[in-house]
Amino acid sequence: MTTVQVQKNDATVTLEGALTVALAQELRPQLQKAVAEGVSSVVFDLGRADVVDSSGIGLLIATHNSLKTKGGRLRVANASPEIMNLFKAMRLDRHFSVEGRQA
Amino acid sequence: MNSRKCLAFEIVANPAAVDALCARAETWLIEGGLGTESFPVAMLLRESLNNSMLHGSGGDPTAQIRCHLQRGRKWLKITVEDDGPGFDWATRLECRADIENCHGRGLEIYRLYADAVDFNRRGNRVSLRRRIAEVMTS
Repeated sequence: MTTVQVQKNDATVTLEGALTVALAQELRPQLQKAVAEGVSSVVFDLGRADVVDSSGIGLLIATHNSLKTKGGRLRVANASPEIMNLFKAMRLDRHFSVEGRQA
Repeated sequence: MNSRKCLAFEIVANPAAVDALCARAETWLIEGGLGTESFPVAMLLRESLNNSMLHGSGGDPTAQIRCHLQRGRKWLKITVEDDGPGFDWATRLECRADIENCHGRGLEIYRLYADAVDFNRRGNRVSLRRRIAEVMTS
């Protein structure tokens, strides 16, 4: 089950399964609200997510854009090798931190 | 029809049906010795189905989407069709998404994972072809 945990200025989204259109639509207002209320650091933990689609990527970029206007930052952690390759091919790693899974 | 060579579906335009179809396609690939193609095919398939669901079906969760997967010796072909008005591929296909823009990644996914992308004239049917390593089958 995907969870969103907020502690002071930090939010962690722990994904389970897939960051795809339905979940992206569900998470977007939650994260917008969190950033509006002062969250300045968001971590997406993809350790248990193996699928992402363009809506999921759109959510990451939208969150990055929201955080950037407030001086905050987005970090993607524990991405699978396939998702790492996808994000690098899209040059997303040049705009926010993307870390792969530990071997 | 040979189910090892082809897989055909007609689904309704909702996320649960898309997830179920993608899971079935992954099983089909693995059973056919093409497990290494699971990720790129899932990206292409999901993107095409999402486009039909979000744009081609006009928000109607009962609208139908037809999908066909076919494998040859050296390629996989994915065809997805809906009954919507169609995608304006002639003007959009070569558009590149700006990095700060949270839309427009679908076509980038096509360019990354498909070797050929074709739309019919109306734009309501996309065919994606991907080269694969030849698999010896019994």
